[in-house]
Amino acid sequence: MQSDVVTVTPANIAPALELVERTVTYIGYPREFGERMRLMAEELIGAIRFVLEETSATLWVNTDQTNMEIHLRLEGLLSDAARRKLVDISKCRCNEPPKGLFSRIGAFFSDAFMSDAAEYVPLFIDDGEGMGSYAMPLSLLAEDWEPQKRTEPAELRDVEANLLRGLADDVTVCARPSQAELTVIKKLPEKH
Amino acid sequence: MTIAKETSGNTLTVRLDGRLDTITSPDLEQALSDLAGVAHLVLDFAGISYISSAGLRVLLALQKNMGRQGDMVVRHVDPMVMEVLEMSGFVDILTIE
Repeated sequence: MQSDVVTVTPANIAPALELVERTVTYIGYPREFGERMRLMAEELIGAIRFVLEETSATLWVNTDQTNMEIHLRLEGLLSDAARRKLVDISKCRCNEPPKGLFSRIGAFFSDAFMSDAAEYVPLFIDDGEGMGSYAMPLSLLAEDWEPQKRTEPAELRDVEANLLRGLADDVTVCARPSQAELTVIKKLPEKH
Repeated sequence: MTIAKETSGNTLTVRLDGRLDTITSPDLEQALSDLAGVAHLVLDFAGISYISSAGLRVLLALQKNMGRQGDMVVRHVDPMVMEVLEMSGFVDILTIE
């Protein structure tokens, strides 16, 4: 089941948090689980706040028999540095391609049409490895990379991402030049 | 979130009820922006079942502020809130009773 899709803006994240909680209630899980999912959504949004001002963001929830997933999609040109920071949020710290052939084809066209034409590098390399490898590792020598400026106390460094990784069963990130999707996965508890 | 303050001598007890999150933490920050004359700050979390990193930010600022003029304790912490405090390492920063 997929929920409605809501827009997330830095000034108003309440509709997204309410959507997550409402979805949990709708499928019959207790308030405590709803609060836990809400917290994950809040930390997810908090962790990507650094790009939220420059991209448009949407959030929705997918539920199947075993898992609940919170999806946050960012659309707009993303710098290499921003993509690297997004990837750091994931549990495995890697750039995972979306599942399914159509998602990958969609991602290809999305990249081709939405990227800065002067900088666009096709992500499909027909070297026999197939399209699954299109989510290329980000270059460690990217020109626009600079160390993150520390303006927060050390105690709060990466606190959102740390909480997110601690609460979620998995956090995956697929970051491309023009679009990124972060997915938080949590196993559904047993219904009593 | 509701914030109820009670002063006894140089001790300020603040009872919180609701969620301490991105939406409500500015209210707590504002309510406790002036702690002049307070030597002991007690945050009663009996009514708090939810805290996010935004709430942790406010707690850290209060802790640092009170560290200069006295002390701060957090009481009656809910299990889910405690889980967040443990996960974030705040159990080592705050005095929790």
